[in-house]
Amino acid sequence: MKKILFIEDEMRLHKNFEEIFRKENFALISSYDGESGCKLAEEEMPDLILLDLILPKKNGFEVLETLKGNPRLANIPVIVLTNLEGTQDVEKALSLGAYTYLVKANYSLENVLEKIKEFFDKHAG
Amino acid sequence: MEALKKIADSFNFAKQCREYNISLWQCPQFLFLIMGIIIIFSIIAINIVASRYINPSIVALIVIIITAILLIISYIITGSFERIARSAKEKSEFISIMSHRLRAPLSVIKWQLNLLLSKKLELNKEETGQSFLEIQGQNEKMIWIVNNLLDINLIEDNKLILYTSAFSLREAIDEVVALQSNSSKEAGLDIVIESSEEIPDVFADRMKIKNIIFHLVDNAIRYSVKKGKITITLENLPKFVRCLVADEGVGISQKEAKNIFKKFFRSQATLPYQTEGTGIGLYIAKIIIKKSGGEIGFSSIEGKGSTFWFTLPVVKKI
Repeated sequence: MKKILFIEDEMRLHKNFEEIFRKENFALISSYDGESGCKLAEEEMPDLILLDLILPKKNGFEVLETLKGNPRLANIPVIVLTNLEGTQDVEKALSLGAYTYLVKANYSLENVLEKIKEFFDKHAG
Repeated sequence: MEALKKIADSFNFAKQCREYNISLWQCPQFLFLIMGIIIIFSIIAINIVASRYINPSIVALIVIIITAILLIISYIITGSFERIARSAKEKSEFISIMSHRLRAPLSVIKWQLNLLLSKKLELNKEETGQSFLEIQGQNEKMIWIVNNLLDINLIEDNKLILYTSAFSLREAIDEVVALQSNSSKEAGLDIVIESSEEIPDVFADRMKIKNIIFHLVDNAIRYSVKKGKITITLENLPKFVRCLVADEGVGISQKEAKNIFKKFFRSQATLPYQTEGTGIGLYIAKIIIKKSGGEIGFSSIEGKGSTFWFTLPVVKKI
């Protein structure tokens, strides 16, 4: 079973993903702020991280920096899932090593799920 | 005719300046015209003076005075250009901030609808109910944001109307506390209302004042990082009633204190704890309270909590 760490401060979105991931047999690990997100990444070593950018305690960019600066965690792929859409934000996130960048309002839950499955298919094994 | 109208319009400086919210005497186009006229007249005047008086120091003095006047006018013109540029920048920042704020509830609504309509997931009755409640809550949030935006627009155009009446502040507070009881409970906070004496009715726009109390209590809840209490106190002052909302939250640093009622301002200290917020609530509150004849202010100790207060005039006894 693939483990997915979801770092997002909106409580309700966790519930959404929990329900949709259960059907797909993905295990969801929830974190509600940047600091605990980094800690959980270290403890749980997830297969994928879904990351919001506007976060309490440590914002998404800082989380990316921390993850990519730690050799143990640097290889965990990160999909940014946010409402920020400025070109600068997208470029910054990608340059910090995010695998891809999804704007929440432009994707349905199913679209996000497809992106995750697509990623796992591409990087199978 | 069309062309003539265009030319006439280009000389209608007052109209052009109104668009940028600056007075005629700060309007670059108008000032350039004035400068041109001054320059033409001064050339003629200097010519006449120089041909009558041969003393060059008088001519030099006049030239210096005119140059000084022109310099002052150019200084005002540059200032006005800066203001126009700043207002354009503020507007685009405003649009960017507001669209992000609106997008957050919109995405939540979208995903809730996804869930409800998903064929793969069959939600049970309780889950469906919760989903609808969430949509309702997010919808309310959007209405709140849009209403505030409209208020800001009215305030800036000086068209905000207050529908004043006599009402009991205590009752308004009770209503707000009832609305907030769920979120305060979730955050582990007790809301205590203290008002021992007989509190007279105040005279103001009930709906708008209720919104302000809602906003103050909402802030108190959101900026409380640990369990504790929020105290709402009502007290009598000569001719006024004062309402205080005190929390035990993150507080406001002295450096940021002067900006707290400014439009779009959000405290750095609060950002690590709260990612929501538009920075318009307190700005609107200040303008409405002032317009109602009251005062608004706060005191705060960083890390210990903040107390926001406002006063409203009591109804005059006939």
